[in-house]
Amino acid sequence: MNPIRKITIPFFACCMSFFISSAHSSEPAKTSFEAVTEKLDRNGHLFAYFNTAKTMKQLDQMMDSLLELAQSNDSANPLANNPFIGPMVSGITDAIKPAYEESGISQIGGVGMSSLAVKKDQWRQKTFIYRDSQKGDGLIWEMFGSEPHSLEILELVPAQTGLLAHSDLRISALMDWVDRISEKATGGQSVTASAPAEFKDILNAFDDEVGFMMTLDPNKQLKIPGFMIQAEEDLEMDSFAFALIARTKGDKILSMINEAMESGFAPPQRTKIKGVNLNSIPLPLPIPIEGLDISPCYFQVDDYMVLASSTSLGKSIIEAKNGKGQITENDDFKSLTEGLDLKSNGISYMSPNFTNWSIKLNELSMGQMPEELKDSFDIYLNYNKQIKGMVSLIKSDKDGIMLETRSSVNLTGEYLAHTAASIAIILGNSVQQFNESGMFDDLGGFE
Amino acid sequence: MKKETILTLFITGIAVAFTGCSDSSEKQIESTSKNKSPQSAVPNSFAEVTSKLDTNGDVFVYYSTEDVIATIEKYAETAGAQAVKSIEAGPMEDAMMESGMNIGKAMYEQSGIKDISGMGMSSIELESGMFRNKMVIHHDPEKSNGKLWSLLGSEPHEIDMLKFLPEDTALAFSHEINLKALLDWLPELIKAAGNPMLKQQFDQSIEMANAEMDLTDLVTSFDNEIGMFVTLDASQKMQLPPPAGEIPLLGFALMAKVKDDKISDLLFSILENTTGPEIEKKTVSGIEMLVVNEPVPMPIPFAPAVFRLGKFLVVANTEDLAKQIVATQNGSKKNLSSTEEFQRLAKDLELKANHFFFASEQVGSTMSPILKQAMNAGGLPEGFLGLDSNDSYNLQTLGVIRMDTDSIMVENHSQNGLFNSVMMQAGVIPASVGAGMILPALADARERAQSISSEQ
Repeated sequence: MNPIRKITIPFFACCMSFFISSAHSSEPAKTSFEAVTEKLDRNGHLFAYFNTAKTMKQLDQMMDSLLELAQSNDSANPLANNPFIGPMVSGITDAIKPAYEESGISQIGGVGMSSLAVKKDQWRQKTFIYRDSQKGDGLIWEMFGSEPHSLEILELVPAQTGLLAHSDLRISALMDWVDRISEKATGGQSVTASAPAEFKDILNAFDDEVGFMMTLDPNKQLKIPGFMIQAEEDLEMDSFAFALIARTKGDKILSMINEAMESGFAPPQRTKIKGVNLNSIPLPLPIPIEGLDISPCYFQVDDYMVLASSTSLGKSIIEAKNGKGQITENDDFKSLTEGLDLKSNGISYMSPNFTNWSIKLNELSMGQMPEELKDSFDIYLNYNKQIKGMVSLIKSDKDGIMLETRSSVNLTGEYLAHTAASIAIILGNSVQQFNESGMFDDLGGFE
Repeated sequence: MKKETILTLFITGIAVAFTGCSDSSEKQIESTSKNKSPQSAVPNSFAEVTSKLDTNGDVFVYYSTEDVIATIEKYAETAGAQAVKSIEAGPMEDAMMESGMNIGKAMYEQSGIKDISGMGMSSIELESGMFRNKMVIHHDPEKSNGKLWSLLGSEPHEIDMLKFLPEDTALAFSHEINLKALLDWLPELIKAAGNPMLKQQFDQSIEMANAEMDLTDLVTSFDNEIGMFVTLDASQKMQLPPPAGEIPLLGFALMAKVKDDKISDLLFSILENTTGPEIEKKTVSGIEMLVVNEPVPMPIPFAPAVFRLGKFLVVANTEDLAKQIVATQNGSKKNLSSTEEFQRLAKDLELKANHFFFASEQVGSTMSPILKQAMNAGGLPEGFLGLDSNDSYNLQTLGVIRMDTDSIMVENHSQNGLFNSVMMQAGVIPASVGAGMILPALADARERAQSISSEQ
């Protein structure tokens, strides 16, 4: 049997089976319409509900059939009978089914979305994934937390933050999931049981929250030399710094890093700021970009361990923790979160400054863009300049996962159309550049 | 006491009536809402669109399109202008491109697309194996000048074609198109091109067409409806080339609604003066028809009969089908509407519309063995994914499109939900059949190529 046929035809048949409705049920089943839509905003520019129960049922059947086919001992089976890839395929197929079963995907009972203009320039977007909790537990319902809580991380985030992404992340749930798959696929072997002790120590010390932040300083400009970006002039933009944050139980992880650093090329320099030990990592060489402050540091502040790209950001974080210059005092942040319950399992935030900063980066590509695409790309850039930031909260509870976003534009309308157009322009530009590169001359180019 | 009894009965009656109303599947979204959402600060057509859809089903979507269309318009305009500028061409080509751009712009401006304010769709399972799928394209009723809102029909009406469809009809569709309005629109578009030479050429073409066959009269004679149907007669069989094999005897007919005899006279005169197969004039049940006596060699029976029946000009693939159509129309044979399948599909579906489409269970049961053979040829095991069930291929559907004053409404009843209907009918089945038929052929071709190469 031709291997292509053997794989392609089942694929087509699977698609077919997937879309055949479960019209053979005795009577129409009650859908999750009410449970999903009561969490959404009616009267807006988008209101959508999809009942996924039937799709999930079809997905189950499709997976069973495909796995059966892949594992069959049929002499014509090109996968199972290949001496090189056969054992690998067998291992993967043994793990796929339990991975899917334990993932919780099959409990998704419906999905809904809405977008409402709360004010002329304030839009509320909601996406809700409804969980049919009667079907048991699963990774996706545990991994992002089980109940919304106060976002303590906001006490650490400085007011000049341009980008923030922080979320609950239950690594223990992820490892449990891996173990359950491993036990089912291998007949009882646990991955975590055989892991090194240090790995277990780190896992035990991690307290289920992880995040990233980036600050912008409009008072300090960084200058990227033109030759580095294939531009005639140097590019000036707000200087930035960034930090990784993890919530920990005690300072076990910090101690491990300290041990590792002290045995490295240069021990960290310790400074005490407002009772916090800030460890600065000396750099072997200076960074050749004017205005870019790279002076890494790490420290533990209360339950959070922080690794920052600059000592000044580290200090700002410590000051914020002491009540000075927190993001919650920032007018843009306050405006976006007005009336929003910040109890959640995760947050992402983009300030208006960050939008402008990223437009500058986008403008870099304008220099290399053909003339006929520049005007169209200008429309995209000018539109983006109007965006006054956005904030998203992820809330996970027994009913499902809700993603709520506030922004100054309709993300699922005009913004989506601009984004699609910009992707088309960038693709068009890439095709043109590929064509001009001469790589495809033998094939007649793209003309 | 009597007064109290009457009052109690009256109030109870009203209460029962309201309770009954609230259980209707036509519930509007506001009435099912537990949470009262605020009104949108930016106006949209949410209420107008969602009032036409079904809540509590498997799919419910409303999408406001105004800002999206305006955005796409901005990019299209800029990209179009830049594209014209960037192409290096001579003055003639430049002028043609500019005309093309102007026509495209005028078409878009006058089409009514920019008046679309929102779209919606819903799908609900009314009873086991019976879905109602709806799609709405909404526009402000005060912005109804767009051609889109008139070219495809103006007001829903009875589907006349239904009276002609024999009871073994397996597939049928009827569409309304205002050819006269389309023909009147063309000079406007040509004028918008701003190219006097193009206008002159167009005027000359129309003059020539009018001189040769009275095009304007013919278009005026056409009564805006065109349709086609396919019958499958299970009592007789016919052979198709592999992998199709034996299927029920297939018949088909094309129909066009006409206001007078102009089009049929022209067609009759062309056929009578054609050299080729012998054509005979016959009268069947009082209907005069032209019949090709000698079947054309094709996999399906083809010896067409052309005739005028009521307001329709009909071309049937055989004289037998022509007789059947005449008998159905005059009531001596049962029509499609009398069948149990049609009545089940048509239950609670308003058949006053501008467009109509129907597919019977027979389409699926005829395609099922063909699909199975195609898949078996591809080496799939028996019963793979449960696709051995004939029900799996059931595509039965009855649908209509209504041109309302504020919207285009597509509504159909089918055995499958919205996604399944669209995906099965437009994508998955053709792709599966294609794969089943093409892949073995490709494999054979490759083997042949390998054998030729090894011989060399």
